[in-house]
Amino acid sequence: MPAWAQGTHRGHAYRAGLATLFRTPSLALFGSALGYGAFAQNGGFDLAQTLFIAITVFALPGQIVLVDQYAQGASLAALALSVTLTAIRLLPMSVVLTPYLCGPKGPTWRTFAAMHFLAITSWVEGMRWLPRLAPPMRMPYFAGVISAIATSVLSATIIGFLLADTVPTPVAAALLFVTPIYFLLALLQPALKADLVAIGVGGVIGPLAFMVVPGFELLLAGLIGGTIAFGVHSRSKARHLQRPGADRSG
Amino acid sequence: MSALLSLPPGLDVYITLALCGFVATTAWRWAGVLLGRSLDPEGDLFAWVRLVSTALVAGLVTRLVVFPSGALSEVAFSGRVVALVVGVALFYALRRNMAAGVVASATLILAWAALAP
Repeated sequence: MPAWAQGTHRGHAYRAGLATLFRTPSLALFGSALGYGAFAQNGGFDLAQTLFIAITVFALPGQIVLVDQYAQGASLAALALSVTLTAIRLLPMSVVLTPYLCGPKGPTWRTFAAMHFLAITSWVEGMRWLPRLAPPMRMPYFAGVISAIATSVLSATIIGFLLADTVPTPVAAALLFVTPIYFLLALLQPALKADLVAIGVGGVIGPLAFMVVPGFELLLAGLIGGTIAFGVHSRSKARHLQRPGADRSG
Repeated sequence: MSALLSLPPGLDVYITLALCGFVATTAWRWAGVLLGRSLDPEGDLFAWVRLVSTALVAGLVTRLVVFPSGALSEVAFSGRVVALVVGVALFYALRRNMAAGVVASATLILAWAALAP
């Protein structure tokens, strides 16, 4: 283990976290944020608004849903609800990561500031490295990780936005296709049976509901697809836990 | 979306984006900090939440492919479906390699848009 991990120099820990910039997750994020920039430009947002969304939301599914539903003129309530349904999943991730970023007296303002930047990539990187570090080194390391991720995401967003406006149509079309294919593959990455059901049902309902009730299609796809998939999930879990005392629900 | 109050031009957009974006997202991150271990991240509630989020994003994916906007609508429906299917197939063929799938799909769209009459 390197010396900075033992708690000698906070600046070293920050720089070690910053090196995330050159690891695979940052590169993957770069590609998807390129798609987001192009997508927001296509949705009629200006560059400042596009960056504002990227910084304040800082979770790609929420960003894309916000841009998409806003551009379609969805109602304020439907807009907020759709975005929030993509973001509730951050809560359990936050619960798990928070203990590594608290001082001896519990969470500080730094904990809250750092947690705003919680997203899939920062969570994976945090869970992977923070437990191995001396407690005083964890916050600076995580600050380095989120600085790296923000740098990657924001620069790619700017590039994607500017490209979408200037490149020939076929290139712009390819950039706009990055978002759907990236999301689909990200969903398929961990896919268990219940996830596949959610993807299948949600995927069918999305376009169908769009024809009938545009502006609510994502809510319907999510709630119906997710609930049906949850039925599958519960049934397969019940089958695994058919022994007394094994139920830990609630 | 219309402004509810008379605000400097453009500011209503930022307020809407902040409410429906920042608040709708980061409230959950901070709730996690505050609630801590008093809830079970592996429980049924979060399993349902995760599946709803998965289905919602899947619905967005297919809607973007079936009803695209902008430059992507220049590519025929068949081209978009082929690109999606090839991307997924390559992803699985190469042990769930996301980069390969994304690059293949985007390249097919590029080729289709460039070569189609």
